[in-house]
Amino acid sequence: MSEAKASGNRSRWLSGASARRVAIVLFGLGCTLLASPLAINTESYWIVVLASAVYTTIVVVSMTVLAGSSGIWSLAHASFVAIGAYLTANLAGMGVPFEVLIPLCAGTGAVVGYFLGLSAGRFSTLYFGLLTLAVSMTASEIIGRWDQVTGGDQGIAVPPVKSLLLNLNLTDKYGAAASLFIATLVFLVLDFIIKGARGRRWRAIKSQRMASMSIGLIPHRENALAFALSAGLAALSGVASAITIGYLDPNEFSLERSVILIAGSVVGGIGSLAGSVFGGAFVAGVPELARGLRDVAAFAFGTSMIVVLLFVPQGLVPFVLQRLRLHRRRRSGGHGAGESRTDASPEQIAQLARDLLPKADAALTVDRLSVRFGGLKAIDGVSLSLAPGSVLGLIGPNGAGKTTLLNVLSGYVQPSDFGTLRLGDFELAGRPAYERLRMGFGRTFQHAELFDELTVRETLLLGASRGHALQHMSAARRFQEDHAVAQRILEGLHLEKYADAYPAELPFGIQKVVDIGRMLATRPQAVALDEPFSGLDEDEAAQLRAILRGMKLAGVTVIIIDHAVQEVLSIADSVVVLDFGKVLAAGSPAEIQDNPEVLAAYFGKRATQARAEEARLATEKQYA
Amino acid sequence: MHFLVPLLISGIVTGAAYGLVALGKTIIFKTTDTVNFAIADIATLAAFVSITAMHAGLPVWGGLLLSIAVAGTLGIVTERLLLRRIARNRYRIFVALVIMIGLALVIRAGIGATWGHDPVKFPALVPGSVRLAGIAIPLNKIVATVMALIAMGVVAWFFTHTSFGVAMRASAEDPFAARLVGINANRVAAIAWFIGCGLAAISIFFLAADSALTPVFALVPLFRALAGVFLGGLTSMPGAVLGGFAIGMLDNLAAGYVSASFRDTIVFSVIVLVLFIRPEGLLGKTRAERV
Repeated sequence: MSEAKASGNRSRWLSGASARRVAIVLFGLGCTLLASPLAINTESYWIVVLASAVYTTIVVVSMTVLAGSSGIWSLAHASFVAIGAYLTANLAGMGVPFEVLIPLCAGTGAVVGYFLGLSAGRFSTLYFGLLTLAVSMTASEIIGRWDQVTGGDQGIAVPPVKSLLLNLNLTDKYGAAASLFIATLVFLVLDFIIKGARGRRWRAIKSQRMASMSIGLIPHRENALAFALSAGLAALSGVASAITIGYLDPNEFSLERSVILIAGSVVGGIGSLAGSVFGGAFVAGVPELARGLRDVAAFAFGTSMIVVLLFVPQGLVPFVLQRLRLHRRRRSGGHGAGESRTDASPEQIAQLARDLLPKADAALTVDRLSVRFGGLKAIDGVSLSLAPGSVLGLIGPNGAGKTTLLNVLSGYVQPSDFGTLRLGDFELAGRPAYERLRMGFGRTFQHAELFDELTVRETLLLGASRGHALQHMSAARRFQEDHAVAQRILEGLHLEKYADAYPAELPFGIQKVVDIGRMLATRPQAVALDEPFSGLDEDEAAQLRAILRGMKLAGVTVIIIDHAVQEVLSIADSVVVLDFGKVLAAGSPAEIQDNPEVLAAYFGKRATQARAEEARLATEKQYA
Repeated sequence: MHFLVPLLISGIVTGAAYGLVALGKTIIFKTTDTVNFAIADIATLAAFVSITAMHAGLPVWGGLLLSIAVAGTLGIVTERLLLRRIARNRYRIFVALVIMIGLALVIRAGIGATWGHDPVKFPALVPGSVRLAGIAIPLNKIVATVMALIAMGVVAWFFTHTSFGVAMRASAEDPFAARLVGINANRVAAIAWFIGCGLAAISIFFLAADSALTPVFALVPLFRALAGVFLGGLTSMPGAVLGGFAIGMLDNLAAGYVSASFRDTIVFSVIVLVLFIRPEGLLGKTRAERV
């Protein structure tokens, strides 16, 4: 608990990621020394309780980070702890030292986790629930029967674990110190990964699985990586517990234990590193307090899960930290929200697009494309082509198939039949959505679909980091370049004042600009914009117009779908009108404007006749 | 062969029990997007209430009705008090799952504190047994299977032939549109939870008579039914019943032919394998997750 408090303080007088990491290391190693026989008598009962809170924290933090960053709940983490614990119990006797056990156990846990994650991630995050349940039950049966390794129901004693570097036997007196050392390691690794680029990817996928694919992220693979990391760290909790307790009880690795660990992560705060310290102490402490009262601990765990989720869903520690921060901000006056618009001229945007995007050289060709949903033909033999650097407007009444066509182009819907579907040399059909970006195709979304848990700057950074996925350059160069790209877009789209805001804090118009920024950051050569004008007020629409003109000036290939027909006609080089899944008309904006069939589709027959009549009268009048 | 027939018979008997719980879970999942991890614990609590009533003189058939009523009411209360509050949560499906896991813990602890941890003998609705294919089968199990099939039939009839049942299915497909045409979403949720938990109560009531009631009695039927739900396709009611029967069969065959101490391993390995090949389950539609 003291560490939770310390981390709150830390953020006050230190800023920046590296300072935070230094603090984690100093604090962790300081505690490690304090909890060793060098400083105190480690044979006291309370030191063992402390150590068990620490090794419980290790597995709680591995779970809470998984749930927080990827939205995956695991019912099998007690089984991953078992991997580390039983490996330690069996290998220590053969003389394998602490320094080898750590990478070995973490690696084994991670490999098991990766394969489980890969199979579950293909389906849905809910499927992780069933799969981990299966793992947990299977693990219990194996532990119960595999006597040579696990000692069966009786459990097994852990031989002394030695440290090679320190030339010490850790098992007798150094349990708490070893647990604290491992915990420090785990927090450091998690801080690096979760607060870094990888964590941004995971949070993006968690909040918008679909939009994340449009910037080239592969959800199931990232889910598997997150699960592997979590399982590997959980196995380290097993090493720590084996050293501390010196005896492995199979009940510690049961499904019920996994459930209680979930209680720990929920109560501490899902995704919160500081919260996991509280969660670990909670899970280890409640049974100590309720010693001898069989049902009280389970009751407390269950009730706390429900109450926290209903009333303090972010968890106790984040709740307290938020209150503190709010209090401080109020005292310092806070930062007021600026006005809700950005202004950039078409020329500035054009410069931005020219600087960032590759020159468009690939033509988009769609030939005889059809999409069927059951008996419904959403798209029926549509053909169109688009020269590099030109703007195509796609219009049509509701249900015409516009969005379906866009979803086919960006890979979310597979065509049922087609002649060709190409961007330059790339065949698009059959390729998953996350590969479109590599082919130079980007898109925006009607509802912006921004990543809830990333700030504007983080979103742009994430986009930028995907933009050069194929180029080979050093990590430091990449880092610099990503930041430069993000900064360039922030400035170019006049988003600087929103750089550190989360999507929920932004007006809808700004969200849509950020969506465009995210797409620009990935540096595609052809882009599709899904109803960019919908939901914008007049000021916001004016700004969007400037952005579109800028992209056109810069020679970006653009497909724009919108109900705002006038807007589309005024910017497009060519227009395709869809109706009931078929191409109703195609041509220049001027041709489309006067096409009677188009007018009929939009306004109905009678209105069109009336309009034609009006036109005839007007002509007659002119010549009269 | 003489070994197989009794295994198949007991597969059908346990399959019917798992199928009922699976059906209850699917009804609840379809209508309120909640994976009900506490359904079997709610039913177990109801069974403890009825055994107390039966000890006080209630006949066994009365105990069955009481059990259904108690479980159904607890279901309604659960939905009303614990789930309606989180309706707007973005990650609702997961929050609901974790809340249900917590509720299961609370119920188990509550039962332990009230009725103790010693097994409680549970009466059969119909005592005695018959010989079938060379083995003695308790009549109670046959009654249980028949009742399960009847209950499944009634549920199928309700959802296809009554206007409210059809409205409930419509509401599950598209809650927004259903509200527009005047279907009361709260009432749909309440009825779904009553039916779902009531079905589980029937299942647990008969399963308890096979062995004895304990606070952790719910665990095995819960996990098997959950596996059945996934196997059947998560949102398909016939799929859930089929999945439940499949698990019951698998369970008995695994215990009979391979090893009784690895039945969970075998059952779950087969399911994971099946879902690997056919992710949408036996009768499920491929569907975007509603999260």
